Amino acid sequence: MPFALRAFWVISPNEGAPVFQRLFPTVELRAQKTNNYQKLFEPNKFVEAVLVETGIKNSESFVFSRDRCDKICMAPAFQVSTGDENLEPVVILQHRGLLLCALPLIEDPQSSVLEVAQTLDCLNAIAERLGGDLSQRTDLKMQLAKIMAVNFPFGRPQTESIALTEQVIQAALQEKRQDKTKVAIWNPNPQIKSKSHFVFHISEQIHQVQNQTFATGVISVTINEISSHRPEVLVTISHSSPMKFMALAPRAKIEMASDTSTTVKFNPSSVKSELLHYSTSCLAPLDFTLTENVISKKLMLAPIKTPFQRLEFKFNSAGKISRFNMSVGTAYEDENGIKWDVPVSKLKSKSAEFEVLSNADVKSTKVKFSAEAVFSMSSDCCWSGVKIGQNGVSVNGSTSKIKITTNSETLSGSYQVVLG
Amino acid sequence: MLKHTDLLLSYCNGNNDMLKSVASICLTEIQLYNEELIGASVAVVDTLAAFETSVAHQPLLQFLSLLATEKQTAAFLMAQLPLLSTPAVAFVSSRLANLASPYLTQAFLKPLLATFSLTAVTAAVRLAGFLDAFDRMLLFKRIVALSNHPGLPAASRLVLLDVASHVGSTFNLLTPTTPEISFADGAHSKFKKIAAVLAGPCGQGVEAAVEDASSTDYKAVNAKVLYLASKHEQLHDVCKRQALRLMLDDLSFAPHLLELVQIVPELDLPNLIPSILERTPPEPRDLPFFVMLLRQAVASRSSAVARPKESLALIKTIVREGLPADEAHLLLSTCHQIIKVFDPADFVEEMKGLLSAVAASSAEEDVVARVASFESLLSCLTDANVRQVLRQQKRELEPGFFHKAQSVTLVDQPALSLRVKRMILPEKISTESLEEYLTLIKSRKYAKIEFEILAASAGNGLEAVAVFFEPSTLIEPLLLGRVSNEKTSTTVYNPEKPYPAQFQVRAEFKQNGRMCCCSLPSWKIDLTQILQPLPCKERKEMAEMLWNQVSDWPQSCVVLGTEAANARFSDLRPFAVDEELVATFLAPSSHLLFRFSARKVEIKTDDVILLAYANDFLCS
Repeated sequence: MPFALRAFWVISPNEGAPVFQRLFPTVELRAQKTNNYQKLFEPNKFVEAVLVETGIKNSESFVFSRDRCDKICMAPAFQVSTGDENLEPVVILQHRGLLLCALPLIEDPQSSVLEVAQTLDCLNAIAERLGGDLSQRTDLKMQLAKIMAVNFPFGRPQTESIALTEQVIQAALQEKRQDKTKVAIWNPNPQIKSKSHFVFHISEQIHQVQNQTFATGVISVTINEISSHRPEVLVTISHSSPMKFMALAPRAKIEMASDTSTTVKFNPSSVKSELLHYSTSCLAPLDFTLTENVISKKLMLAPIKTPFQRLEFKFNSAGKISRFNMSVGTAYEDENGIKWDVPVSKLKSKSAEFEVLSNADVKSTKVKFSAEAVFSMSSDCCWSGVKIGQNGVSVNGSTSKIKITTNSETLSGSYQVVLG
Repeated sequence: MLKHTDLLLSYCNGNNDMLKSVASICLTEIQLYNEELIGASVAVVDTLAAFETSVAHQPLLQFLSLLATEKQTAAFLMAQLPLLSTPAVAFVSSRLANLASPYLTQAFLKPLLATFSLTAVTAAVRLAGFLDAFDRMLLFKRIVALSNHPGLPAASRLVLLDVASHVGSTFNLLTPTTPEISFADGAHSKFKKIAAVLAGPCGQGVEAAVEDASSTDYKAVNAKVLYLASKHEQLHDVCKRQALRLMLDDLSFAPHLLELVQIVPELDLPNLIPSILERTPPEPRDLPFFVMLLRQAVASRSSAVARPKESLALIKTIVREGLPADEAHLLLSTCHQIIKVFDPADFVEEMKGLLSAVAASSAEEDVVARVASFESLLSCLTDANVRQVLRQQKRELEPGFFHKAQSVTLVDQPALSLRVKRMILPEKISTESLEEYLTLIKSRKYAKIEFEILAASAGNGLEAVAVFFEPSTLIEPLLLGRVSNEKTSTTVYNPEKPYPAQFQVRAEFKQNGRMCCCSLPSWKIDLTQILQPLPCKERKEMAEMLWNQVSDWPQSCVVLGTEAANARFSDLRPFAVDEELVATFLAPSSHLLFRFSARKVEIKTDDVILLAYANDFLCS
């Protein structure tokens, strides 16, 4: 049986009833024919069960239906239960303070994970499309009703991107635009006009784990000024070190790959879409040494030319920290530990120090201590050296000049300075 | 129905692209529900799809893929796949897989393998049977790599872990021997990775139990890891060590641990209390958990395990001002257990100290009173005889205490009379949507009727009275216990159909020390007894919706005399929503509606047989 959603809910943790609910009666009829049919709950009971199951309610205590040791862990899908009735797999995605929940039609419980995966894709698409102030319930409901009507007729998703669905329907409604040579536009490959403008966005995160530094990133692309023909775009991405791993958008293809550049062929669309996920090794942006003894731990940063915009360290200690000193910047302590804000401009010429002193009378000698760096770099920089040059894009069958804009951002991912 | 599908088919052949598209989406849905309904010929749809270039192209291809039975059509569908969106590719390719099409080439599948889109991955997994062993391994490795890629959202990585283990188990591919737990993993990811390894034949990796045990999530995950590991006998020792370590790190792991030990008795940990006592003292917030563990230890009746003296002294140090009442009561019940099981002489000072500490820290009157009674009990218990009485087990039952079949005396006269006092109505549905109401009404909650029954005894001194109904599967026995004069109790009737019924009734009871049995008059449940008002909050609106909007229910009409009509209407008065319309619900899921207009009564129902019963009732 092809994939379909049985129901979709939007839940706000502060409200007893669902903010939005859409049931698909025809899918329900099909579900009733299956051997493992589970009835839907009453809306309020469902909300209660979801909040308990996801740990939003009763998060501190042991709840048998949630925490029992022989319950199978299917997250982000959950088995929600009211005590005597169960419903599974309810796929739950948290999005801007709301819980998006969906229940797919399951034919064979053995392979339900595949339906779960596809449901999550649907929820991701819905989350991507929800905009504006979500606390405006009327507006939110209208947005959701439109999404359901446009992209989920009878619970079946039409495209991976709801924006694309809306575009396709708009195009179909404006019949004037269509000509005799029109092509199927569910996978639209728009014509690139002479003035077309490609905007690439490279978002990169730097991680350091056990003294290994690497970067992971996403390249997304938006193209302005396109209409309905099928060009293929070749983009050459240059990188200073070989790519360790790449995953492409559906139907994008790697045309050529070497240690310093990768050429990807794809069909553009006018909505912003992710083209490529990658990971690659890179240089460490920070140069530090750590000296420690029983009562004190000292972190020393050497002067470095990395174009930081912001640099902050977080220190966590299981034992009690009595005092801390620093040579530059400011630091404060809250329930999550100590935060040290390093003035970036000073680091270019001078080294910096931070010392943590812990209580000597802590009995346990193995006090857990960890430190993590949080930083961002200036917006024109991509630390690992991933770039798209001005001549890096070509369109099959077109010789006209193309304008390219590339934005990059580099942030810290999980950058552990000291492992606990 | 056929008329409608014909109309939809004609729309597919029209000029309006949007209409074509919507019509083919509808046809697909109908075809999915009932394959025989649409007599569309494959050739016609094939031709339509081949020439379609508009928005209707994708829906038409999906419809065609449902109809396709021949390889030629499959080849056409294959060729069109690059034009479809990813969900549609998943739809069509799953149909192609059913056709076992040789056209499903690896060239088509390869691009699916390289993407990060979950839908594309699922489509690839569904078709993995068509891949050769090498490519299958490639797919598996890709999914494992994707599930470890920190650039993807956490939820996607979690799902990919499951997909990887699904692929691994379906095609017998090897999972890595040690879990590659990365920094970006949360509780659930870590668990899934460990579980994948533990599920293997050697079951290694339990040492990798999730470290951070601060939140309930992590605690639950730790318990799950231990539960999985305990399935391997050789890992029991490791599990015990890990469980003890987790427990000592954080006492709030106690409920998780106790539940685990209950399911896996082999993991029983006898030295919990001594281990806690040896360590640095627990904090006040750990009190309920410590008491919970102590109760468990006391149940073992071994003072080496429970260490009552030291435990009581320890609890005294962590009892703080403002002790919640439920914790105080739990603590006092545990104290009672300890007094019962062990010799109070050993710990009388500690116990007294603890009791006064509890009394001082709790403001609840109940707690203070209970403490006072415990203190007096404690002073009595220095007397060995009193202790003996307290400790004595309940009297053993003599052999032959339970009656044999021959020992039951059959009584001719009915010893009881039963009368239905009232019907307990289920909770009302609060919905304004007819559709939702009709779905909810089918739930189990509405499929049963709860009756409150008044039993009056004819003789006196009836004990252990139980009333059984035949057929017993439909109606639960009425357990009354001692009936001196009159007694009320409830029973649940689970009707198979919403029709009147009749039950044989039999009572069993004890009188003057003998077991007796008698049959009672059979219980007739007639139509009026099973009528219920509509179980929804807006009865009037729902009744009108049912009457006006539901078109496929059978209807009938009866004309009565004016008097009879009035009499029947007043019989049905409790279910009337206005001066004309009467709406009733009959368990398990049927409705019976009447509309009185002068002498004419219209009847509408969703169960055609009910019409006959309704006729009988009206004309009676």
